[in-house]
Amino acid sequence: MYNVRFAADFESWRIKAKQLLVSNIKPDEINWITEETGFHFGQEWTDIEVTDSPRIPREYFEAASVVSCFRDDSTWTLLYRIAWRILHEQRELLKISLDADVRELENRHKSVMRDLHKMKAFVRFKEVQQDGKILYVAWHRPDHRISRLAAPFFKDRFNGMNWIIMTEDETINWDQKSLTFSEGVSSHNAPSIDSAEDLWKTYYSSIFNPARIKIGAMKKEMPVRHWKTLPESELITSLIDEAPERLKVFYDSQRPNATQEKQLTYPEIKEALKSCRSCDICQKATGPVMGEGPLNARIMFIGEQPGNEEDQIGTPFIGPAGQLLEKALLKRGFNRNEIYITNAVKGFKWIYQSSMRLHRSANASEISACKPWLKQELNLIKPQIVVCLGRSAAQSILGKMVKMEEVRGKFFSSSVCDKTIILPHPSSILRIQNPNEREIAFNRFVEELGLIA
Amino acid sequence: MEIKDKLAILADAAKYDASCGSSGVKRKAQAGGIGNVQGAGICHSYTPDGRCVSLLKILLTNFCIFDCSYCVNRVSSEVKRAKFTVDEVVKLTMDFYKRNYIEGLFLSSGVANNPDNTMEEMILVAKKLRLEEKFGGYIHLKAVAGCSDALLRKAGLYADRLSANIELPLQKDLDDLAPAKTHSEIESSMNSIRESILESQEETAKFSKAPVFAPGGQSTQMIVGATQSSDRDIMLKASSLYENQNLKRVYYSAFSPIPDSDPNLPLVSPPLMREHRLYQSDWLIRLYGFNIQEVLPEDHENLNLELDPKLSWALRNRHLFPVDLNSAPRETLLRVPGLGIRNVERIIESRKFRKIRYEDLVKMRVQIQKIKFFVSVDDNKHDLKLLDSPLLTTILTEKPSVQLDLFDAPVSSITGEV
Repeated sequence: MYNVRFAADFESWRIKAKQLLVSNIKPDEINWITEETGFHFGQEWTDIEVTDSPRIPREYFEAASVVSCFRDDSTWTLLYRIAWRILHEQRELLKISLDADVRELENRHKSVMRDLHKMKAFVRFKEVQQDGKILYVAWHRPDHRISRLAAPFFKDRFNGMNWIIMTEDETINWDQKSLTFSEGVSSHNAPSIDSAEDLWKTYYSSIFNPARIKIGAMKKEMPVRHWKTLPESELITSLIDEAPERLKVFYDSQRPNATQEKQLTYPEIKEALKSCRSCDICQKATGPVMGEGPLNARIMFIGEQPGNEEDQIGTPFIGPAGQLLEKALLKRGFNRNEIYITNAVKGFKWIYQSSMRLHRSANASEISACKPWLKQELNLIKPQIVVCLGRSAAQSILGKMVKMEEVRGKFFSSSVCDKTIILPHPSSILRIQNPNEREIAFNRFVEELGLIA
Repeated sequence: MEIKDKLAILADAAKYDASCGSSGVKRKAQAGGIGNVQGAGICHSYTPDGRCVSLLKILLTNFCIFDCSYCVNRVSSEVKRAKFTVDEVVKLTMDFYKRNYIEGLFLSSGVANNPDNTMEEMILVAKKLRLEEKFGGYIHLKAVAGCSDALLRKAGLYADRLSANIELPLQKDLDDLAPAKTHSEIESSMNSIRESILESQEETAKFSKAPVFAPGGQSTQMIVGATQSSDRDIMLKASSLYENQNLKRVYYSAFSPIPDSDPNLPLVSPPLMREHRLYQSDWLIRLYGFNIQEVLPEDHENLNLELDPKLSWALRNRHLFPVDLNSAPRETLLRVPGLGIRNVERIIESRKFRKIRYEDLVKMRVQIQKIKFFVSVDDNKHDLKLLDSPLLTTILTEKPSVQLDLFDAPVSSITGEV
């Protein structure tokens, strides 16, 4: 037996291994000893001069330099045994991944590489001021002795910063000029606070999805032993504890769905509409107001929502705006009885003010909540021309907000009808104070109505 | 509004986008600069939902004029709104990157008032990061729906990856849920990105100093289960995009209930297993040499949730089995249920030196319970008898209880191995 003493790094091991291989020393004749003292049976190995190196494939050195970082002294024996077997048994040994030694090499390689990967992932720099300069300092505890392996990565990535990564084995220093290594230190040498950590924690808790708790999966990839140096890990317990409450808020925000599975008939839609709870408008209104007109109408008008009168009587477009529309239609030779007229939102939304029920515009979510009913009507009537009166109707059909002056008065193909056109809502004409301007707006409206003739 | 409040809103709003990786690009940091990109992305943290945190994934703003039912930021949603300034995003990215929290930035946005303005601001973020901060980390920009080609061409000069979301597999689906969007407009954005990438590849081949355009290529995302469209519709769309637009990846995102969700959406989300099966099929088509007709023949509208797609194919094509592991060519091995790409390589390397035995399969940790019925090695004669038995399908059908735990959607987008 030979006692071979060396510093626990790849270079010192390699020098000894070369001598031993050349001297034909079998793997089981060697005690690899990395600690400085201690008694071992056997004869101390004395260095010899080696002139020509044993011929070992490059792949071996690539793998061995990584595996040598594995924090277990049996690694040295394994590395030597494989080198020995490559020389004496099978030159292509490393390609036989089913061989027990090769598999062990691969497993240890994997373990070191994984640790290296985790170091790249979990090192957390903290920004500190030192001598008027900004320095980034991290403390990390790798599983294996990988500081030398990891240093080039951090040098490349954080090239334009001064940084220090402390580990128990060794400290890596980068001053934007050279990479140096100094003694390892314990964790309380690390700075404790950093200005960006608060924002980082905000980010971390905002992207967490409380509907899925997978602590096992998290711990597998982010082992608990690393948590101490990860600022975000402080949040984990509270995030998990608060998840049920966040979920409740989430589910409470869900609105019932108005979508019907199949196409309904006109009376069926009218009936089903009564029990719709997709938004709150109809609870406060007298009730929903369904569209009216011939079911084989060629043209369909879509307004915004019923007003005060419409709500009380239950028919769309019979108030002032409806009368204006009727007047305009007559000027173009249309009878409103040949047109199907409905609204994007079926209920009257109002507030009580000056002893009146004042119209409030439906918001986007209410327009969208009511869309399934409008779709039912569109599918039932199958109009050849769809006229959106006002921005709400346009938004419902187009699925986006529009500016009236940009879109009005031209036909286009929409997802509901090949001939769709947007016109201002008649009530917008009624709201114009100046009689002359109102007259102009009305005439323009009538003119544009001519497009659908 | 404090930056912290904005971050909470705009990170929360961005978390529904599936793609998170930063792989496929390599860039060394410039001397004195900050940041590089390695081939494979690094997950810097994990949240208790088991998902990895790799990029600062945020929206520039969640104000949006569009009303796409499936989107949490649609105009009709009542979520809180916020908007970052360009400089805020730049500073946040640098602060996080310098502390090694992230691999880079994934910036998307609602359409604040018009697509071009929004896209311009996003480009400005990327430009400032690259030119003023000497930032070499990963940048993924989302192409704002409907923005101009000229802007896309500019975006690719600073971004590693650009993506335009196809959103839903059929135009009809868009008509129902996102009437403001059309496939033709989205694909024309993709086209323009693809052409710019091609041009830049040709240029850089000629002059090494030519500017590189989106070196990480382009990807897209499709939402699954928000409409009635079938797996076949989805895979047909995906393969046509892979083919015509030269996409790096298609991400499948199971529609999930969003806060204050639109009443036009179905009430239940599809089983996560469906998303997983789609990823598996995607991998079979991209990397295992299968074509869509094999994975989803004419009479199969949807993938089998209980059997992985490769296994289903094998059960439909039993006459091609058993496969001899010691002699079959690579492309045949890739079609064996339970054998992934890495193990196929291992078998090919190892068998040059010695015969593969049944026990080797155990050592390689292949899925023995699948593979044993389909391969001939020395001593599995008994299992092979079942190859012609109708019982085999029953034996191989996965127990539903294991499914959700084993297969995690985001994980399958990364591994997808079958």
